[in-house]
Amino acid sequence: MPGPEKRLLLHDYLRDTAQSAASCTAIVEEGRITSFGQLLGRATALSAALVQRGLRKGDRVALVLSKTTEAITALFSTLMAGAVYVPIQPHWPTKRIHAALEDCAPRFVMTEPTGGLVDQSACQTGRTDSLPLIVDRHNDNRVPFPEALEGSSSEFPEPALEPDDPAFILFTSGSTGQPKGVVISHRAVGAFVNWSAEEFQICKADRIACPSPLSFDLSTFDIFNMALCGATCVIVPDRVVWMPRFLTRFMNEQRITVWYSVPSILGGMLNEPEFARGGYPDLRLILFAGEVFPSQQVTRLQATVPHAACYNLYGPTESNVVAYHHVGQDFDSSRPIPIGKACPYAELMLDPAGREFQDGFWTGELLVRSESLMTGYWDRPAETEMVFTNVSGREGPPRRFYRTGDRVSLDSSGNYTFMGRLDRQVKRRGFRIELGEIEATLGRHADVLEVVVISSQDHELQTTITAFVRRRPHSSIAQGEMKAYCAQSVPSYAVPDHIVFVEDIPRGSRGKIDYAALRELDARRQGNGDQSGGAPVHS
Amino acid sequence: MEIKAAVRQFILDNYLRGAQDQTLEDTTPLITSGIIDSVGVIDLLNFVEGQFGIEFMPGEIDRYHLNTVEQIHRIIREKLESKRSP
Repeated sequence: MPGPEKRLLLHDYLRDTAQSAASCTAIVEEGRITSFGQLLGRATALSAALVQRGLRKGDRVALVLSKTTEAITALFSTLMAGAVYVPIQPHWPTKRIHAALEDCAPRFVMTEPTGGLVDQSACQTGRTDSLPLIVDRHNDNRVPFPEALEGSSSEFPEPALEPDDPAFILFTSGSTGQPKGVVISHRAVGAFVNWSAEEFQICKADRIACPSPLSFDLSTFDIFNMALCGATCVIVPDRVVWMPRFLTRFMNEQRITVWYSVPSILGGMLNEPEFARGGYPDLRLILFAGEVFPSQQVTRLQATVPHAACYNLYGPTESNVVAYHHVGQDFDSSRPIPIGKACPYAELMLDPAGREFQDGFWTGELLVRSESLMTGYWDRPAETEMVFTNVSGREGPPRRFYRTGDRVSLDSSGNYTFMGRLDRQVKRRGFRIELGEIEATLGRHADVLEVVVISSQDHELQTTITAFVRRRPHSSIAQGEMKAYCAQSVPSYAVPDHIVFVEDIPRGSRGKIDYAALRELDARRQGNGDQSGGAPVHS
Repeated sequence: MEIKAAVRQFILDNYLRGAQDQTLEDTTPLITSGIIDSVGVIDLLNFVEGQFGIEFMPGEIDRYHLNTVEQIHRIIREKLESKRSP
């Protein structure tokens, strides 16, 4: 029987909803409809098949899958078995996928036969071609999804799970060149999902778009609100997400009521002539997070969809959403949109050790204490310790806060506003990129003596990444080859837009890299379409 | 301007700024190699649609079918031909 305790586990949301609303639509994927009853049935059968094949509580299951009905089924089946799902984008470079697999050591890998991980000749033909394969990492057995489901029972010994047990691991950019896994518990994601369901009144009638990849924490809103509230999750195919014309039509045709994505996707739609004619009568709620949404763009968005409420959500992968701000129609568009105030399950503060009072505002690093916080980085206790800090209060023992690395300001009404990073992390379309990771990657090339990577933003806050590379003497490696080399290890969004070959990296009097000079050089290049990708330039 | 030359010039100007023309061959992988990322492809498609007066459909956007200058050239020609003889 469902009770308050059971609802603390993510897969119990699905169980409860499938009981009360079995025939309601859970997932829509390009005309394919899956009901809650079907989703629960398939997830249970797959879970039983995995347990039968040796999956145990706490084991990892890597989902190297596109965002499909099967991937969502696999995710729930993993959770039901008490295991931890690790979503990995199949479009990531093979090297990165293997690095992630090596790091989290999954018991099973689910992958598409057309992905680079599986020998094509070993695949069957026909419909099952596009269905995932389950790869047993102990014996390398490969079983197609349908075969695993056949003869699988709907019953299996359920592992005893606690809300603090891990539910999934999300890989994010690491400054040393290796991606690191962020471990999130059932309780942590549940705090966000339960709050958002109530705050935004998510209900059975809602059709929530799912535009983000499963490896991106934004997708937890779409999938677990679907399961918790009985709403429909409408998968937005990848080829539609970034093509504004297609997306504009998709939102209307699919009668999307709730949208949650990075601002870049919405910003792209604003430039599409069809968007302004759209109407979107069903769209009632627009949530955005992951990067700064320029205020002028939000004004344009509100003018086109005045009936939809807009909210800015904030939180790094390590904490999921911990702050939110309702952007009213009358907001001051001459100022950046605040990240707002803490969600009820979170506590925010400026680092008391480094805060400053400037121009009437307190500014400093944002510290977070929250039920939604990660358990830690997978298998990286030292790195985990480094991002937490103890803050002593007036009374009681010191309390543990997560250091976001984000510099924020706090205004007199209690709203926080993002002002920038304290380190070299940048965001592009909401994806986190450590510039140090790109430097480490390019630096491994045999022809590279030295490399410095910088980023810049245009007036619409779009990020451009430029790598300044000092080549070995007589090396003739070209820009395209350097980009291709980089793309073997980092996702395409992290490949530099421009590679500039230089004879020297500019340095200050103490030998430190002169970033200001590089930025000036970059601005000059971008301004005049400079030709430095061919012949080396003198800094 | 000839179709292939226009596509090539757009790619050189936007994704390989300043690179020598000869480093981009007709068969150089553009998307799977990382020279153009998934959003860069959208800019390229917008350019192609505007330049040649054609329109892509969602099913045609595939990283493996628009991966080289040669493939892009072929799909533009096919679309122009089907436009002339509907």
